[in-house]
Amino acid sequence: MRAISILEYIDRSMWRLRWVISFIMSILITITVGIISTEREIANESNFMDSTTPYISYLIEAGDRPEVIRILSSHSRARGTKISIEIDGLEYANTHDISKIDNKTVERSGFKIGKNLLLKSSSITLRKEIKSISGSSSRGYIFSEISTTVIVEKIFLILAISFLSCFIILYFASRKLEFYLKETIRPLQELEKEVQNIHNDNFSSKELKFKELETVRQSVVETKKELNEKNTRIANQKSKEINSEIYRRLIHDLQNPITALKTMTNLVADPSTPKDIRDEAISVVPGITEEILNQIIAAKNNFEFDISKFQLIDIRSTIHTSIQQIKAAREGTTKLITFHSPDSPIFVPCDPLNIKRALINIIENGLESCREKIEIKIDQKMPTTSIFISDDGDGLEESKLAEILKGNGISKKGNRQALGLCSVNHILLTHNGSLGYRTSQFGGAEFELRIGSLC
Amino acid sequence: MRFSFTLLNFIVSVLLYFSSWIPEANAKTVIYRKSIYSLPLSLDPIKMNDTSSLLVSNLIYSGLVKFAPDMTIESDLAESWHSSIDGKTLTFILLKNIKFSDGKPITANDFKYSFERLNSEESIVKKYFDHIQEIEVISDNELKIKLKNPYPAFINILAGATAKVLSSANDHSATSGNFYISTINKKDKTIILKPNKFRNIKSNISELWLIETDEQVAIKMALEGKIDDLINWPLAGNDLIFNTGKKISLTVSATWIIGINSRIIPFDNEQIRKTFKKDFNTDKFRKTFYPDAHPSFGYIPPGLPGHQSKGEPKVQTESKRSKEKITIVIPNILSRNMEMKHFIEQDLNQKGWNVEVAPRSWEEIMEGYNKKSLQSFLVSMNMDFPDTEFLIRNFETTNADNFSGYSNNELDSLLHKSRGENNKISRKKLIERALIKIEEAALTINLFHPKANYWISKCINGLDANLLSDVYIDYSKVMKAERCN
Repeated sequence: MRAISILEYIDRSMWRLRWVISFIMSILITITVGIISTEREIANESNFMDSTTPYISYLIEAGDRPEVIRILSSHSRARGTKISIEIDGLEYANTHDISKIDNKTVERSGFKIGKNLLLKSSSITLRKEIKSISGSSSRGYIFSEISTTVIVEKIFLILAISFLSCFIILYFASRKLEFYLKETIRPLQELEKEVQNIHNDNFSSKELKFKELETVRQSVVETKKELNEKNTRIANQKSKEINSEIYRRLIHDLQNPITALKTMTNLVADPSTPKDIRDEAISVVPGITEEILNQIIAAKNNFEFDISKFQLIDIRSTIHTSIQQIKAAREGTTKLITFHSPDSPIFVPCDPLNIKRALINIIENGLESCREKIEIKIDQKMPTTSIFISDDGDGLEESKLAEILKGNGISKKGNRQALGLCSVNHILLTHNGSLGYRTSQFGGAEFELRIGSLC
Repeated sequence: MRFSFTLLNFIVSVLLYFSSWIPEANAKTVIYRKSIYSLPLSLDPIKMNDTSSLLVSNLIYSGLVKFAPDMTIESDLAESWHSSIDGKTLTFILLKNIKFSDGKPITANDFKYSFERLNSEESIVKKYFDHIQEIEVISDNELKIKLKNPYPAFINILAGATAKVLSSANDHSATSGNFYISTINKKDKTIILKPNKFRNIKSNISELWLIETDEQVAIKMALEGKIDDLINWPLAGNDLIFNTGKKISLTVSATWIIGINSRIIPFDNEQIRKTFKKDFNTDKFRKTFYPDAHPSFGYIPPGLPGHQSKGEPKVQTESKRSKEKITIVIPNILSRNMEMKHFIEQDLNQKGWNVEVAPRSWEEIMEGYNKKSLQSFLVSMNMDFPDTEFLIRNFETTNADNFSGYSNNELDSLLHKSRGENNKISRKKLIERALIKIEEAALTINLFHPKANYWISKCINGLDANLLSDVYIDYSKVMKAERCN
């Protein structure tokens, strides 16, 4: 699962809020407005019936059905309703089907709300009693049927405006809410930057606005200080350990050449030594001396190692810088250096200058040995980080590698002694690591620069 | 190339322009055939007093306003109208570009001319228009009708089938309605109407044939697909013809009566009239011939002032029968006229009367009606406008159309008062008192209030029945499927 930022999370969450919730809320509000508007329509119709029934009653008692029909038709046309009058179970007048007049009425079906409201999917029917002026015993009712289609047509504009305005308001409200949310977490971003910058040498920290975050920031700063102090203590201790190790190795490495030198010196000094053997011994002595000197120089360099120079760096940037430096120095080379750089940073505790020196050394060696290309990869398996540098050259004899790393081998390039690899090895030793070798997939050399943990 | 294309366009446009002058030879003639019980007795609105004439009048003439199917008043040739505060002046603004069937414009002068004719002495419908004091033409499209007294129901009279506009400039052959008369074939008893191209007609009918038949023939022709509607016929709801076609049923403003002429013995005797009325079994007659009709407890149809929905007013009932011969004339165009004859004769003669039922043609009946020579007659009293005034005025002494010959000053006074009464309930009470007088005088045997059962062919669409009468059905919206032609 890819980690996402809180801002990204808010963006995604608010997208739903912006669209889905705005839409659902707008629908709900529109339905509410629709119900209110429908209720208003019913109330208007009811008011009309209340105000008209006395006159209708008067006309009915006067026996003037044509006038009743005219009034009802006029209102029906204006309001889009179907109006009918029932007296003693007979249809007295209506506005929509003259064939029903003077016929028996059929009971209206639907969902009754109270005595005077009847709901159907296609219509809403209101009923009002027509009270007789002269107090006759006839029972008369006026019915007004409002088609739901007519209601929707009438209130459509209101519904459309309600929906759009609600949607726009809710949408912008959610945008505003998102803005404030983002503003709220801005100190969190600042804290993130603070934490990110903790590795910088020139790390400086500013006070944060929110108490909780400020507490976190202070904890981080204090932790940083404590870490630095502990690192220094650990480094000093490690430095001593490494120096001891270097010394131990030096003694171990010098044991053979010094023994050889002693043997050769004895042969030269012994008058009984045959001349040819003495001459050979005399010729070997400078080589052995040179080897001893090299071992001492390398050890000296390593003794100069200072763990306080160690930093937690993104090793990718060190590799990139090294490659750029080599390319600049070898302008015009046609050989290809490919670095398979991972997407995320790979932090390694190391002395950047020495690691860079080691990288340049190995890459330059590779460039000289290769035919066409060099490939660089990184693999981090905590606590070790390995940098693999492969080429398509002739490679080394693996049996001679141990001698080479001691500074005793002869490099193929220019018939020089392989002092570079020896130094690289020493640098890696100071990083609690080592230099590995195998034949690359291209048939050439593949060096593995292992950098270990200091702890 | 561009020039050639433009030239081609021009040629095509010219051809299309001239082709519009050529008659539409391929346009299919859609003929609508309507069966009627009588050809119009007159084509002059001032002489129309029967439904057959009014039906044609409404097709070929237009007025200022007209009745919608639900009896509301709507515009015909008037764009708008309003009444003065005192209710004595009605002002009408006419629609623009209205024309007679010959293309001549219809102006306010034509209306003045037509309404003055309707109110003239030669008019048999003067009784409706004598409220008019004066007609003033303001401009070609504005007209003021001044009334002698405020009369709110006058707008109903103007929507009726006689308040039509005729051309003041010619012999009335050019008409103002949705249709004009193309052919009158007296031999085949057929009138062919064609749509007036100067009116905005939605119907696809090219010819509307009005064919006079009797009821039996009409039903037979309908079954054979030769007739498109039987609206003019008083069909019972259970008639077998309704197994085919479409049925429209509604209660129209009409009443079936047997009119009694008090001028002719033995009906000059009120007691005999009362006994005769009492002896006539109206309920059995209705149930036998028109079972779905509404029972009639009075003279006035439902929905109008004076209508009785329960029980007849109590009438003095001291029986007095006469051996004088009583002839009841009934229309011979009714399919069951002979059954009716036997029913009435048997029923009444058993009770001691000397009754003969005489089936007659519609022309004969109307002739006798107008001459007041019929002793008694069975008719459907249809209404020209939806107001009780239309029916009860028949009993006013001064009314030339008083078929009963009845004269009663008190009744006259009640009718006069009801006309000027603005309070509708008070007016209704006056009418009710007048109706009690009429019922007490036993001038009508109230048979039933008919339920109209209209048969129309399945090929017909857009035909809206009219609550007042079939006379007012608007055929300008009727469509006929061409496949049924």
